[in-house]
Amino acid sequence: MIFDKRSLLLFASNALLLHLMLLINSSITFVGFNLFILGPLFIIAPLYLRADQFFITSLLTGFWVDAALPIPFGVVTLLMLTIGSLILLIRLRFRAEKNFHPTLLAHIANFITGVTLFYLSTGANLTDFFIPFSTSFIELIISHLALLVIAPWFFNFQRSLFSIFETKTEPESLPFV
Amino acid sequence: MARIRLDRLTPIVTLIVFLIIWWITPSFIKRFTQASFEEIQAPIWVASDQLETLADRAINNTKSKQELIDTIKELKRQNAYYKQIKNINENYKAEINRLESILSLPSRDRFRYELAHVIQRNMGSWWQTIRINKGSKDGIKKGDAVIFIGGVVGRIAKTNYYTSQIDLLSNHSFRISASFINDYRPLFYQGKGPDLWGQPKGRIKNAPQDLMTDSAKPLQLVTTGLGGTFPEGIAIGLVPWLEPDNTGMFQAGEVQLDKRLLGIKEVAVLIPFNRIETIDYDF
Repeated sequence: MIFDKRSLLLFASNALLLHLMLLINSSITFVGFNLFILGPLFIIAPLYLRADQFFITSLLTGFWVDAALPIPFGVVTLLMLTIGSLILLIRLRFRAEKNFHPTLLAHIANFITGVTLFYLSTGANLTDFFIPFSTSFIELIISHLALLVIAPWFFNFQRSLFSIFETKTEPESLPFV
Repeated sequence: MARIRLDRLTPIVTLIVFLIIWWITPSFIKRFTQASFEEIQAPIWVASDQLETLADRAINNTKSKQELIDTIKELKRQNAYYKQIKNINENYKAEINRLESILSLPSRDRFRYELAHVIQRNMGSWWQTIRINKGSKDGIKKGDAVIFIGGVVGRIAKTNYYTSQIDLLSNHSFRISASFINDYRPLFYQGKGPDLWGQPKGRIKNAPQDLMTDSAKPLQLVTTGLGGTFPEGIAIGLVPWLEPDNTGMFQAGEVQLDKRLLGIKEVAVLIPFNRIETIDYDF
């Protein structure tokens, strides 16, 4: 296994986005809601890296997120590996070098993670989340609106890191992993 | 018939193998991994708090000299007032000690107060937690009570060496025995998360039927001291209305919590002198 420098770059940028999100949340407590923008962390690793490198990146990122958030340890790691593996299987269908498909995938991943963590954190019924104008529902809608801006910026940032650190800028070994 | 490319299934096979390994991994290994990652992150939280302090300082630098002089004057006044209260409290304490020694009573001091600074806040509908800059090295343990100027803050949910995580009293998992002020019948309090406007809320159950309240003069909810974690009489919140619960025998209602919880900066952890050790079943 040849170590891919991009794994570390992706892990570092994922940790940066997580901490920015938590810093913002810590500063906007007066409005009483949190931004939830974990979706983009799931995407670039399965789209760009080989399967083994994707696995290392997702495992590290997942553990990092699990340790930073007040959730049962391992939940985000398992979600990240599951969603990532599914993306990896069909990544041939996505245009990784453009932002449209990654952003769309980030929204889907963010929604799945949001609903799962809401269910685990509050112990509420799953249907409680979808009550129109419930706090969690509004929070997630606002987070997805923010994600429309943040996700493209973040993916461009990660691609810029690949260029700055002179690594391969194209997705790995297509069509087969 | 086309052959199935097994190499394409590598990610799924790896995922299944990982899930099996995760399932059979002993809990102490998971706990060790979690603790390691949390300890690595601890300096980052402290550094972000320092950055926030620097930003506050920069904002203060923009204030005029006259404004700062006025603030200092006000602080001096408050300082003098609190010094007087401190002297009165010391006299009371000496009197209590004297009476305790005459009557051979055990000491009423059950806790020592560990002051801590809030370094991170997570207050949304998903989580209602804060992180402080004191941890197990300061004697803090899981389950310890946390209070602030407005009353109860919550309970220690997790401790690391340098930091601790607190479940706020608005957290869904926070439950406590409570009573109304000057009414010693215990009832059940549970956190409810924020409302639509972001204000932290709680709810009570098992309130006696003879109690009445209204939004103009809401009843004050305080701790009972049952359970031993919190001392008696610490403020929890206000109850503006009560309604019969589903059993018809008691009343239930919503609790308005102190708005200062949202911007909380300093807290005090109550560390018991005689701690009762409990077994922790996290995994």
